[in-house]
Amino acid sequence: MRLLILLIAAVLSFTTAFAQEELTGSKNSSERLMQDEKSPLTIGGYAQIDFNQPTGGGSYHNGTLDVHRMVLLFNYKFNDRAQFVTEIELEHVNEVTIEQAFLNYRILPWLNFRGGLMLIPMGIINENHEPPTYNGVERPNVDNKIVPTTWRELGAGFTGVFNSASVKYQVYVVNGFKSYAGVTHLNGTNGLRNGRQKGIESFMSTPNLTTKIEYFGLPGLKVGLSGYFGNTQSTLYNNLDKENAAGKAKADSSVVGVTMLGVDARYAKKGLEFRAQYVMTYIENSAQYNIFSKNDLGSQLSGWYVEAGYNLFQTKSEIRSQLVPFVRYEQYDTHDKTAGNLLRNSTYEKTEITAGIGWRITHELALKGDYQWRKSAADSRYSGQINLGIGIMF
Amino acid sequence: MKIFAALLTILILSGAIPVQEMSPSLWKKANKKLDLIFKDQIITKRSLELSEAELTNNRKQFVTKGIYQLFCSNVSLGYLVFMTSMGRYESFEYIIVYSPELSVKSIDILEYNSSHGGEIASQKWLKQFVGYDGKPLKYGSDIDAVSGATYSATSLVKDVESVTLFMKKIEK
Repeated sequence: MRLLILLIAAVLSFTTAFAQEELTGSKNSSERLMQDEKSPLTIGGYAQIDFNQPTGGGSYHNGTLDVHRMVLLFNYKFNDRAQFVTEIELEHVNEVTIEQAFLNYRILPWLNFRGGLMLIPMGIINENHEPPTYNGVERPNVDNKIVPTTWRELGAGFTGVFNSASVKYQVYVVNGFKSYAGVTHLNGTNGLRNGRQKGIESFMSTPNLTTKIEYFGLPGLKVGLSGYFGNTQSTLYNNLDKENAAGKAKADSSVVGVTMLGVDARYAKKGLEFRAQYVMTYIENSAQYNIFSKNDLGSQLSGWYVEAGYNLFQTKSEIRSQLVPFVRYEQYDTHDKTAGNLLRNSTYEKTEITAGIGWRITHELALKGDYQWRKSAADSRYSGQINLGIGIMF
Repeated sequence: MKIFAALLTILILSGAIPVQEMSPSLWKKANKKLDLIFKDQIITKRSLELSEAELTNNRKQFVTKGIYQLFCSNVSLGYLVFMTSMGRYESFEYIIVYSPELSVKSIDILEYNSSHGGEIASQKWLKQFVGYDGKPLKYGSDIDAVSGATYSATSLVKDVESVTLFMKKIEK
């Protein structure tokens, strides 16, 4: 009996191989598309096209239209274990950058080595930013200003998923924000955002550590906890004599210590969608840095938001698209706390409310529209903005 | 049943259903899952053969590495389908085990190598497909959404629906 099965199996594998030969003949386009799954190269991408129109007040306002992002993604499989992932981004049509460029090598089912230019695992949007996957035309400003997205740096580390425990982890050593590189880069308006090196001839004075752990064991729920630790980088350390105490003191005053903690949650059930995120950043040595830089960097930055949406087509089984009205409430402050003689600047403390609707025609295409109310603690009234957008991914 | 088998084989051989090469490691993983499902029963597998008619009629495409009928002592235990679906960055492999009446008994992910979307391998999520027999299947409604794995999850849901409808059609 076993021999017969073996014989059948042998014949089967032969016929399957023969079928492979047949497949190279005439095929329709869908078969050809699926045949590409055997190709080691996968091409994808995403794009975000926006229209923003400030409203109200006693002045005229020009609207802006922008191909905010156009990204091409390439994934190349060298073999079963090794693949290279890269995302080439055009922002506002004429800024070219690379969002990701890393090697992923699978050592064990739950242990992958990763090295190269990688997305820092902090918050929801930094890693999950394809336009059809989030509500609202623009990314939340908490992610923009506090995280700060799209935050990607060079480094190496490990990541994996323990399916039995429903846990995903990431731990990488990366280069940090540049606080001084000929000019200073950190301040109150933009927090750490201008310190991102983005893989552009990055330099490292001291390594930084970034970690995230995510749990998805409860159906519909995904929670994450992130931690980022390290000092910022300064060119003043370069070629600095180890005996030069004054030089070292100056270099030390051009860096700050960053401890960033983030917690995020996503929940989706029966058409309801919830998101929440909280990020807290502690900056050590900001007082000395502000004396050195003549900037106004805070000693604590924070931001949080909650968001809720509902798919109006949830119960209509014949409709495959989703129509999702949503509302999001955000607060963020790059001057949550300040050190030394620096007074908190109330224009940095922001509150934003976004209310809108998204029509997800397929999981790859969304048309969006929303209205945003924004104010700082120094404003007496909200200013408004209309946003319309097209978001795609493929 | 014999006609069913005949239909499937010809369909595969003619290339309408793209059949890709099977690897021994995939069979090993599949057999392990089968042992768990059919505890202690000695299973024999017979590859199915298909007809020309099914070929041209089938407009819903999916990718399979093999469709087999399962027997224990000549009693049909159901069917085994090896599937390949696309995630965000690359494809993944899984099996669907059907009951003799073609309702889903089990779906198990055999290989998921990508760094994104691996959450769909969770048994808690895959359990939702048990009993599925060809009704319209809507991701997000009939099957819970998976945050961060939209591509793989949508792909799997779509392909499970396609292949189940296909199996039901050729069974008639």
